[in-house]
Amino acid sequence: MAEAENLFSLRDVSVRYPIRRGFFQRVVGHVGAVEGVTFDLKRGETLALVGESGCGKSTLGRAILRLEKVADGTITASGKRLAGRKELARKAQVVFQDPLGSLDPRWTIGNLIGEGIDVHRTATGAARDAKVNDLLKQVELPASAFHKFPHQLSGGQQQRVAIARALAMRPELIVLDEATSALDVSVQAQILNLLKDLQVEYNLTYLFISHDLTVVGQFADRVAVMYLGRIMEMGDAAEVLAAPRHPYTQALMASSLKVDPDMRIDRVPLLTGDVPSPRNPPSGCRFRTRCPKAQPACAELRHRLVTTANGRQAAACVANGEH
Amino acid sequence: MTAMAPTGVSEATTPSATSPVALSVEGMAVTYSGVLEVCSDVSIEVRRGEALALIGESGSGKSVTVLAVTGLLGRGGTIVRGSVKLDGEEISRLSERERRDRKLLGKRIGMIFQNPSRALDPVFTIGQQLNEALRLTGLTGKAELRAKGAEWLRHVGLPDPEEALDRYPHQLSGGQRQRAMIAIALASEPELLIADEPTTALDVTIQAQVLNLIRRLQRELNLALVLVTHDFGVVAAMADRVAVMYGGQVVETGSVGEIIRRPRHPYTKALLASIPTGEAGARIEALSGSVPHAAAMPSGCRFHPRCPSAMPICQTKEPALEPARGGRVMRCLRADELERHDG
Ligand SMILES: Nc1ncnc2c1ncn2[C@@H]1O[C@H](COP(=O)(O)OP(=O)(O)OP(=O)(O)O)[C@@H](O)[C@H]1O
Ligand SMILES: Nc1ncnc2c1ncn2[C@@H]1O[C@H](COP(=O)(O)OP(=O)(O)OP(=O)(O)O)[C@@H](O)[C@H]1O
Ligand code: SF4
Ligand code: SF4
Ligand SMILES: [Mg+2]
Ligand SMILES: [Mg+2]
Repeated sequence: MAEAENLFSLRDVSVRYPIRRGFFQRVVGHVGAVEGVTFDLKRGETLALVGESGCGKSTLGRAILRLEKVADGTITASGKRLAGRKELARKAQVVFQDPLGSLDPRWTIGNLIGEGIDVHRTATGAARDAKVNDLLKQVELPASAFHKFPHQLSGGQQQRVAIARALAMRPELIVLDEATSALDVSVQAQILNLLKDLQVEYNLTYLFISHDLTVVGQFADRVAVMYLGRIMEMGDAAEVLAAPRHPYTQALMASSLKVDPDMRIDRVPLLTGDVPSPRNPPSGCRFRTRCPKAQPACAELRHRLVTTANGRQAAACVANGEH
Repeated sequence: MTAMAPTGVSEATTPSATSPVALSVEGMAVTYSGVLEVCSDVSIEVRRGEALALIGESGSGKSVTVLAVTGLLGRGGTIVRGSVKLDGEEISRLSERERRDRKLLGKRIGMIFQNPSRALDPVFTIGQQLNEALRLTGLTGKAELRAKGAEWLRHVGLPDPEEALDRYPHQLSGGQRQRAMIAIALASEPELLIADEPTTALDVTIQAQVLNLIRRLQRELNLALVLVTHDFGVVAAMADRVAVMYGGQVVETGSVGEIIRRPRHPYTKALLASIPTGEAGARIEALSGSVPHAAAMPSGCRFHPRCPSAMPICQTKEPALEPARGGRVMRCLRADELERHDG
């Protein structure tokens, strides 16, 4: 298979949030929400970002969407730097977890979906309405939804509206930030199938942010596992999940409950130790306060990714013999 | 380091069918404002030492069911039919005042909410809230309460329990708040523990810790546990028996092995089939449509508009929850017929 074109390229990307204190909200430090992330997002692929709450998944998505300033490193789009947010809006869209929170309750579905078309003046009048109706069809909503309001739809239907809104801009990339996490398994399955169909039809690229490793295994082509702002492991999703190399990925996999009545909770290995504060991450390997294989040398380890067969990468790890 | 070292592989001991029934709900119906019937025919039973999972899609009536048991239905919510028995004693007709006076919730029933902020009072420290629960067991004395409180926090794996006693809820992380709430729910030593989506908001790593803790304490205290969830992974890990809910009714009950390995009700089957398997690129068999709202409940079998096995009669005739072949209990007009098909 020919190598697909790079839609976005990230090089050593770091994003920091200021920590403010006191009456004057003075900046007293920074949280390194994303640190030194490098990867290429290929056209037409689904790249999953997984990891525990606060590890920087949404921040990384927002940085690609230009909603967050990059402190260090570069993000380029198809080889060139993008001018601004508006140019990017055409190229990249986002769908969030909570559809109701991202849809203005006073707007009709027709206007919510048509908003992007109106703002960018890609069509007006009857042509605009025809486009909106077309989008309704694409996300498998009835035409009658046009004049309804968000609260009159089910959660799954609301999420379809959010997807139609994103599609209206004919984007190349859609960031799906926990887009199916709040849905029932039945509705999640409907939405995942829809997203797959749309991807094939429009050669869409997805950045799929999720905490469900089973969904990731089924839906994503590649996966990046993050911990406290850093990528700990990355590669073909099926390969990484079948044979995780880094102890953090292994721990995540082991903690995920399977739909198997033989896997009772007392057989699930547990992580011990404290979850570190992102404001004050441990030195060396950041996972060492919870890692079952931690040893003294881990405190001195310098974070770097080691590449193995088939482009798989894993953070250097003392237990894997990498000092 | 917390005290949550890996527990050894202990056999899943199913409590014997002879242990006493702690909670029995029969044919319970709940309305809001007297008109909206959000639960219509709920029957569940839990024995001491047993874990029952209530599963079903959003809006199927799981939370309403457990809120009815605890007497927390809120404004306009009433049990209009059926019975709720705690240790054989009818409690569904008690007034709110009688429930409070008899300390039903807190003393005899412990409740863990999905959202800790609903149960934890932001203006009291964790220690103060623990003391309230501990006093229900008859414990008194400042030093005694403090020692016992710290012991409970240690039990739930909170780091620095002594210090955590003096903290306010907002000074703990989400997972720590969840643990503190579990400690408070258990400190009064209830006989029945109800957990409504106790880990839905947590990371898988913390979820495993919290569920392990609930299961361990349930065993140690021989509690009856009702666990509300929409996650079959949680069901497989925790439940002895399962009740599947749809449209305000229980539609199938069985042991965890029966429900997950050999689901028989068309709804249970479809729900299980829509779970991703993790197989790369495979399409998921999605169950179409969504749960009907209480105000627009379909006639006949409530599942018929979405049921792949529906027949014309399903649109008019209401199935009852009843024993079917093979010792199963379900609500489907075609239960036995479909089983013969399955072979
Ligand atoms: N606006 C902000 N100001 C300050 N800190 C922030 C801000 N947004 C996020 N953070 C911090 O940055 C880190 C990464 O947050 P982010 O939201 O990217 O995590 P996440 O992986 O998306 O987590 P979740 O799974 O909970 O959504 C966290 O420590 C978070 O507290
Ligand atoms: N206070 C209330 N007033 C009126 N209707 C209510 C109230 N609480 C719940 N309902 C309705 O009762 C039905 C069952 O709701 P319930 O909260 O029990 O669902 P659930 O199975 O717990 O769903 P979820 O998985 O989303 O928590 C829903 O149709 C809901 O809208
Ligand atoms: S470097 Fe050490 S602490 Fe980090 S994952 Fe490897 S063994 Fe664990
Ligand atoms: S009664 Fe009919 S519609 Fe209902 S579950 Fe059975 S077959 Fe399906
Ligand atoms: Mg996020
Ligand atoms: Mg609920």
